[in-house]
Amino acid sequence: MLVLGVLFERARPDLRVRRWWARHGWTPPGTRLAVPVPVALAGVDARRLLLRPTTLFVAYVLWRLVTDRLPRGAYDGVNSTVGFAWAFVGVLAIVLVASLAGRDRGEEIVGVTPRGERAPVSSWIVLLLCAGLLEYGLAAVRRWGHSAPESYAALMPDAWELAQVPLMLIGGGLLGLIAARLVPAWVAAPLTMILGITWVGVFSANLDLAMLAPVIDWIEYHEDGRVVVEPGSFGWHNAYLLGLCGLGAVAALMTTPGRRRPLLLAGTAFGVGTVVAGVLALP
Amino acid sequence: MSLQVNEVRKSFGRTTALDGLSLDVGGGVTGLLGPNGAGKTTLLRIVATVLAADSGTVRVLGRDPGDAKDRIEIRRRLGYLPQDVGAYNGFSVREFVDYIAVLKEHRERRARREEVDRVLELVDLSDQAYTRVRSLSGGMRRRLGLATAFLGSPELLVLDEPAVGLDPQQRLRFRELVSNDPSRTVLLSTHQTDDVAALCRDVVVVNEGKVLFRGSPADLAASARGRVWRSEVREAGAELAWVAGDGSTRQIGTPPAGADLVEPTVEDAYLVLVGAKALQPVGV
Repeated sequence: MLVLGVLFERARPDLRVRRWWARHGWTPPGTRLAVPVPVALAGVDARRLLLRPTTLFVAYVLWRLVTDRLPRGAYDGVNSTVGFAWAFVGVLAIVLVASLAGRDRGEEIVGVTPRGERAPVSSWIVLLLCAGLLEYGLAAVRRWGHSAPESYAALMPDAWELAQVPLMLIGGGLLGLIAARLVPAWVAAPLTMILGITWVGVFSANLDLAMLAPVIDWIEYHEDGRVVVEPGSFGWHNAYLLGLCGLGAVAALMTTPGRRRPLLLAGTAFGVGTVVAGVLALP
Repeated sequence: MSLQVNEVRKSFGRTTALDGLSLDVGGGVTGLLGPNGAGKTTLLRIVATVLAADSGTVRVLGRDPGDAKDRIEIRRRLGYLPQDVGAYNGFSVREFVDYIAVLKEHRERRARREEVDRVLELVDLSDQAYTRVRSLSGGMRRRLGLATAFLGSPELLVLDEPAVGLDPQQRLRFRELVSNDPSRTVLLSTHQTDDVAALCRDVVVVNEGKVLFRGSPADLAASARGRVWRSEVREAGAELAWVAGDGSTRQIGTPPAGADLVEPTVEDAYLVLVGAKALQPVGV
């Protein structure tokens, strides 16, 4: 009924119902696109970023990634997508930092708009979520769009476990966003990469704590030829990554002026959730 | 009154920018004159909700900028041109104005496009719509800032030195733009006394964080009657003197008996008011 009403409204904008809606402070459908400001800003930025040479290169690599035939089919596909996501984090962070670094001194003109500085930061988070969704789609195509040898079937991740790929991407991007907000210069890009690599290195070196690294392999290869799934819970590892992403988003928003209490509450919730999920992810 | 500022104080460390300044501004164009460091930019930033006052009360469009909800409502009805237009260098002119338009809640794409076209046309930047911001001259950047300030035809315009870098033709266009809606309140700071004389219904002279004069440009000019004269050489009572184009020396200060008094301009009156402070930059 609602759909019919909206279609009817669009066809006859002169009708009384439109004026009734407007009188009650609602936006009649069709008069404007009810897109939240961060989403609209993300659209403006996405149109700009999509035409950058770096983005075109990434698009080419993505296309090759999806279309390449790999010897172990879906299994290699998933692995390569994970590996590529790791590199993608770096590319994304660099693009993001470069773009934000060029926006210093713009706070005053942006700050006096109704949405203030928080809206552009929110729009970057929206963009990262979109990139994450795209990445998940690619990984899903690799996972379920190709067959894997039967011996590898037990090693294949399920839908939730596969979320490591986009979560890693979003988390890396958020790290870049925080760095760019705190250090609005090119140096923020290498800083982000060094921080990420150090994080992986520190936790991956200790098998007991490997599940606390932002990226983990699914598979352990043994000298006797055995191939087993890494100990620990991939599902909880993803919950841990999700918590970290939430914390990253809160931290990025905290770099802007505005109300802090809702952010602190959300940050506390994400913090507790991250610790719990991290503990549960350990073997 | 669109703007009420009462006993406002603002300090940055040991430097007092505003020292109990009070001011009411209604419709029309009001110009702020004052030497560098007088507190003009601080006052404009407080009015534009960029800064909060240390003490005193401020009402902008009947609302309190200290209240979060009121602040958002003020920003919806405000156009602001900061002293330093921090436009994003990697954007094109159109992209930047479009970006700010979204932030000003112009969410419907078609209407936004029309509004962006309108303000670019207003400031004569339509031909540079696809030029990168980094390639713009100082005057063009100023016009870009003006374009963002005019988005949505705001009720209150707060402009910090809007005419800096504009060529004479653009300055005339700017005057036309700012003055064409008498119901709109415009508060602008400037060092261009001829802009004040040509544009402003009211002029406020600020120095050391305090209001020295408030009235019409004609009243300001009249306040210097009997303090400006002409002679062949600089005389002892002159605080400031310069050789005019006709070879005579125009002097401001305490004229000697029988001096050839001349009708003062807004600039003369400003210099009389600000006095020794105005002389410091030229080292006389």
